[in-house]
Amino acid sequence: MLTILHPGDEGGDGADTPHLAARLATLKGKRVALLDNSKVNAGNVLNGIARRLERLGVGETRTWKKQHAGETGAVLIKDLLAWKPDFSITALGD
Amino acid sequence: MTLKAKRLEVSASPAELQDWFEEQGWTDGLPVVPPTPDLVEAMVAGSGLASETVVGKIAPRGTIATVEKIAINAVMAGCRPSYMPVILAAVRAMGQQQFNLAGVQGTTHPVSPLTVVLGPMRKQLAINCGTNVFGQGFRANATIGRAIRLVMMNIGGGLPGKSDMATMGTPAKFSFCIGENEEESPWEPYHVEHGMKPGDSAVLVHGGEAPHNIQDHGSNTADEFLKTCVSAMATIGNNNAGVGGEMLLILCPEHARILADGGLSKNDVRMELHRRMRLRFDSMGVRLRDFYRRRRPTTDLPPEVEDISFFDDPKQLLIIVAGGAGLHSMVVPSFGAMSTSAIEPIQENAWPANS
Repeated sequence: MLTILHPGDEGGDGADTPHLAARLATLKGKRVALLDNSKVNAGNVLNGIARRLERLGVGETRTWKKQHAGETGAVLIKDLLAWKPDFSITALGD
Repeated sequence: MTLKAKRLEVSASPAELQDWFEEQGWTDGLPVVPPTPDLVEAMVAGSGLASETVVGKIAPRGTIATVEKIAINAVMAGCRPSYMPVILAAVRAMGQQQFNLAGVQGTTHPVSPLTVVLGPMRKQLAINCGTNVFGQGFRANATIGRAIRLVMMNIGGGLPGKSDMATMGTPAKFSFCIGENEEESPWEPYHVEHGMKPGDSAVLVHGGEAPHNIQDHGSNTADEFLKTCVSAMATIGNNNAGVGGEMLLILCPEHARILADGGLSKNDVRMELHRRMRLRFDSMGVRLRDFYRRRRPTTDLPPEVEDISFFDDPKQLLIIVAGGAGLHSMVVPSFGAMSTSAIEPIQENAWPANS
């Protein structure tokens, strides 16, 4: 046998461990944040989702858009969270 | 020295060992050197720093990277202990906010951090700066670049299909490290151009695509060769066209000499290329054209504008000399404005000789 050292994250190394949020019982009246990653069709897809959610009775939708797809969006997300949405939908990829 | 990483007992059979590393998801697909405690201790010693020294957090996971953890990955990559100061400098450079490692790690774009080693450290560590500079055969180049990638994967969590969403990827994601050939450059070295002393050593880390050839065996004047550069560089199939950002021009010594003999300084080359390189909207399809019109800092252009400057700022064109004899230069387009290159000194107190 050979003893080797773990090369990666062993857990508890300082990285925040994400936890899943509790599932909402209903979408009616909820505030929905939409994060557009600025890819070509992201806005179209999110707009379509927003219209569908409005038909389902959500209370309010608001969209934030990254300047570039490759930026982390940390500043936008901070502003988004300050709006206190009940849930958010993020465009990913192309 | 007390190493704090978790110790794992694994089969000593070479075949079983490599299978096991692969099953853990800890390799780049190639066999690794088992990071045994004795090898990791020697690697840590090569840094000149305590094993628990925090170097930074590696995106996207945000895991803390200590000297020990980086050393474990450097052992796996096949590095010599003397390479550690370069690796640590590169990790610090990637951690600079402007570099946007999270974006570089997660994008669909084929970007990989290119580490360019600058200054006297190149010779100390036998880092190849000349013939076949991007190719195989040089342990320092191959393993330093590989260690950086393993750090990004194993500590940072940049794993293909999970958080690394590159559509195609690039061979540069295995290893991407070169040295600047300042000895055959007609101009000042990159780090001196950026305010350092000639005797300083540093790394430039540039989030780049795999290098694209700029072949020109015919031109023997600066004007003629610059035309070839413009054609090879001002293309639309890269992120630079759509979102701006930096490009790295790597001139082979002979092409650099043609430009210098034409009376051009490095900055003259930069300014002349900036003047000549145009992004032409009639060279692209309608939807792409409309997309790009909205994306650059010069947004919402009136329809009669047919072309714009390829670079928003001439300083976005980075220039070094590297490579050997022959008439092939390279351009390394970048991830675009989402990532800006970073330069980081190599700490001399972490520079042990001959180890």
